[in-house]
Amino acid sequence: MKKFVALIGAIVFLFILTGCWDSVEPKDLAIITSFMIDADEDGGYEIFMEVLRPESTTADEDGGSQGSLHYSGTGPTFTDALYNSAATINNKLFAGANKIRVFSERFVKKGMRDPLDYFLRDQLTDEGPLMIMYTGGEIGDLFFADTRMSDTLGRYVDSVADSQLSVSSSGVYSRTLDFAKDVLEDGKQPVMGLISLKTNAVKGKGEKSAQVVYEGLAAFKGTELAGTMNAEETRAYNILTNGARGVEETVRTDAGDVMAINARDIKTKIRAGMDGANRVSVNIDVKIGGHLVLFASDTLKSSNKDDRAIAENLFAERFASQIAAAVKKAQTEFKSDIFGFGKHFYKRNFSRWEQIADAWDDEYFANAAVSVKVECKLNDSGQIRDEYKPEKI
Amino acid sequence: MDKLGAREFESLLKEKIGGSFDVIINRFATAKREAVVAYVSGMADKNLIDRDVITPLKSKNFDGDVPACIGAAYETAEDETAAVRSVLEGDVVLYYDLSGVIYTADLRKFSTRAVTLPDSESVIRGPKEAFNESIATNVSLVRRKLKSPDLVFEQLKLGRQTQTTVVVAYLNGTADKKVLRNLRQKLNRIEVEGVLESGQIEQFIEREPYALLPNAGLTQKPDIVAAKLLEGRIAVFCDGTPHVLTVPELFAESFSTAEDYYSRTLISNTLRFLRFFAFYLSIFLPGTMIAVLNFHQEMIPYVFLKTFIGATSKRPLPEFIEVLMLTVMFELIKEGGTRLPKTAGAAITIVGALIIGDAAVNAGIVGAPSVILVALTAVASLLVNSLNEFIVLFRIIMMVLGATMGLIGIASGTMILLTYIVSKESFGVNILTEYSKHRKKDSLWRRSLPSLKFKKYNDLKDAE
Repeated sequence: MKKFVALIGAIVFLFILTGCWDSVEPKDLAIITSFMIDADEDGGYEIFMEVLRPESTTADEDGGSQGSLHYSGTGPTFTDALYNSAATINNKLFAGANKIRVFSERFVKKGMRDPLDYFLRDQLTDEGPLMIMYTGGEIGDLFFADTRMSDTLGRYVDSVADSQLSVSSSGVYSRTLDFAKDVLEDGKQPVMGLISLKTNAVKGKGEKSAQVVYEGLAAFKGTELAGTMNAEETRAYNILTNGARGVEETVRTDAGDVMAINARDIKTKIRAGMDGANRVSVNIDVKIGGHLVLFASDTLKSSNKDDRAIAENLFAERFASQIAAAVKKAQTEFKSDIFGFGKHFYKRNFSRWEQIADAWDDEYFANAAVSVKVECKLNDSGQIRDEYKPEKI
Repeated sequence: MDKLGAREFESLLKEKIGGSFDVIINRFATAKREAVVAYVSGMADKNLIDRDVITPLKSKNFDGDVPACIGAAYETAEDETAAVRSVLEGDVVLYYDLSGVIYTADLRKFSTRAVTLPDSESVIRGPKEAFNESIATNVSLVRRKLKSPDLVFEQLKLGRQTQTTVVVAYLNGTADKKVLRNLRQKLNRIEVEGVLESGQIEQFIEREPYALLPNAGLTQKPDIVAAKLLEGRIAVFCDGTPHVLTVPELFAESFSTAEDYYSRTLISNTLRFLRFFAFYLSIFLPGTMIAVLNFHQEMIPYVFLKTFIGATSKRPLPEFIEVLMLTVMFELIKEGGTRLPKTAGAAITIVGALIIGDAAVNAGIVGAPSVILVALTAVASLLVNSLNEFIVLFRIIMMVLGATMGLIGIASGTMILLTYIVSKESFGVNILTEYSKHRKKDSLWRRSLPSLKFKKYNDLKDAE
C-alpha cells in the first residue's frame, strides 16, 4: 500500500513539476518569422509581425512574402503596440523560429534600452534573431520585398546576412545576444545590420518590384545610435573584428591595369597600449590571403613574382586606407569604439583601464593614434598562369 | 504380474482403453495357445505388426518361446497400466496366454510434417532446416550437429492427461549445474492436465509470471540450439511443437541471429548495430517526437516545423492520439495478417495499407508524418522480433509520458526502462551479464571468430 501511494505521489508530482498543461500542438502555434518596430513623430509605436502561413507555399498576389501572414498594431507604448498587433492572432504566439528584428531609424533614434529589456526579459522572445535597422520609407514596405528563394522575409534576410559574410562582408551579423553583450560589456560598442529596399532592375513573372539590400551597419554608443557606415566601411569593420569570411576588391592603376582579389584568409591582430604622452596607441596588423580573379595588364605578368608583389602592395594599400578611414570615422564622427579596441587595451593594461574606462570612447578612443599595417598575399594566379591575350590564340 | 489368461488380459485392456474405436485389442490363436495384441490404429505400423509379431506366433514352428519369435526389438512392461501407456504412445503390446510377461515393441508409424524451412527465423546464409512436431526428429536433428558424448537428453513426461514427452538437453561439463538443477526442480513441480506447447512450459518455469521480458529463448532452428548448448545453455524440447526453449535467455541474445556468426565480422556487427538502433528507435522515436512537438518546438529546425505544420494544420486529432491510433491499428493489422490464412492475410495487408496509408491521410483523419512515424517504428521493432511485445508496450508508455510531460517524461521513462532491464534475471543469471565490462567478446559487437574462439555465456565467472 505504501509503495502504491508513493508511486501515485511520484506520478502526481511529475505531472505538476513538468507543467503538462503547457502542451501545445504545433498546428496551434502562430510562428513569428520576423518582427518589425516603427515609431511615429507623435511618440506612438507601430509593430509588424510576419507569421508563417501554415499550409500555403504559393505566392500571395495581394502582397506579402510567400507563405506568410502579416499582423500590425499601434499603441502609445512599445508594449501596447505589441499586444495590439497580437490581438487578432488566434493561435499561440511562438517566437522560437524568429530570425530578424527590424527597427526603423525613427525608432532606433529613441534609444534601444526599452526593446532590449523586453527581448531579454520576456519568455516568448529569445536572443537569437538578428538586430537590423531599416533605412528608407515605411518599414511595412519590407513585407512587399522580393524574398527570392526563401518563403519568408525573416528567413531570407537571415540567410543573406550569413552568406554575405562569405562573399563581400559588407553587412554585419549581429544577433540580439551579441548586441546586448556589447551594450553591457566594457571595451566594445554594439552595432546592428542595415537594411534598405531598392527597385528590382529585372522583374520576372511573380517577382516583387522591391529588393532587399543588406549592407552597412548602424553604430551605437550604449543604446543610442551614433551613426551609420556604408558597405566599404562595414567591410573594414568585419576585417578588424575578424568577422569577414571573404572579401573581393578591385584596383585600377594609372596605367590602366585592372586587378581583382578574392580573399578568404583574413586574420587581424590588434595591440592597444598607452604611449608616453598618455595617449592610446593602437597597432592593427592585418594579413589577407587570396587568389587573383582578374589580372588585366599590358605591362605586368601574373606569373611573375615581382609583378604579383606590385599587385599585392596595391591591394594592401587599398585595404589599409579603407580600414584607416573606417576607424577615423568611428573616432571622429561616432566617438564610439565599435571595433573593440578597448577590449584589446584592457587585456594588457587592466589597472589603467579601470581608471579610464568611463572616458574611453569620448577621450581615449577618439584621440587614439592608430597605425594600420596590411600585408596582402596572392596565393595563386587563378586558373590561368599568364595574362589572357586573344591575339596569342 | 500375475499369470493371466489371454482372455482375462484382453478384457482387462478393454476395460481400460477399449472404449475407443482406434484402439485395437485382438486375441488370436497361435500354434500353441492364445495371445493378445494391442495397439493404436494410426500410430503403429500394421504391416510390421503382422510381419514381426503376429505371423511368427502363428507359425507352425512356434514352440511357446515368445522372445525368440518376435522379429522386433522389444521391452517388457511391468503391469497392465504400463502396457496401456505404451499402447497410447504408439507401441504395440503383446501378451501370451498364462505367460505373465507383457512385451512392448516400438513399431510406431504416424504421419509427421517434414523437416521444412523455419517460418519465423529465415536466413540467407546458414542451415535452413527447422524443427517439426516430432520430438524424436527434433532430438535427432540436434544430435546430428553435436556428436559429443557429453550431449545429454533427459526425458520426462508432463501433463496428467497428455503425458507429453519433454526432453531437457545440455552438454555435460559445459552447462551451469545450478541452472540445470533449478530447471529440473521447476519442471518436476509442474502439475497440469495437459502440455501442448513449449510456451506453456515456459510460463510454468518463469519466476515472474507477469514479466515483460522473456525468461527463455525460443527457436525453431537446430543450429541455434546446438550453438546455445555449446555456450552452456540448456534446451527444453516438447513433443508436438517445433519451438524449442533455451535457458537462460539473456538480453544480448535478442540482438544476435545465427547469421551473425556465419557472415563476416564487420558485416554482422553493422547489422547488429542496426538492430540496436532499431530497438532504440522503435521505443523512443514516437514518444520523443510527441514530446518535442508539444513541448519543445524551439528544438525543431524551422523547415521541418513548417513542413510538419503544413501537413497537419487541418487534422482534427492531436499528434499523440493520431500516433496512438495508428499504432493500435498497425497491431490489429499485424495480428490479422499473422493469424488468418495466407490468402486472407495478404488481403488484410492490402486493405490496411490502403486505408491507413492513403485513405486516412486523404480524408484528413491523420497526418502523413504520423503515418511515416508509425510505419518506421513498426518496421524497426520487427528487426528485434523476440522483444516485439516489450517494445510495443514501452513505446506506448513513452508516448504517454512524452505527451504529458515532454522530454522530462521521456527521461523518466528511460530511467524506468533501464531500471527494469537491469533488475531482471533469467534462471539466476542477470540478463545484462553479457554487457559486463569483463565480457566484451560478443555483446554490443562480436570479435572475429578466431579471437572469439569458444565462448560461454557465463564466462564471466571464470574470468573472476
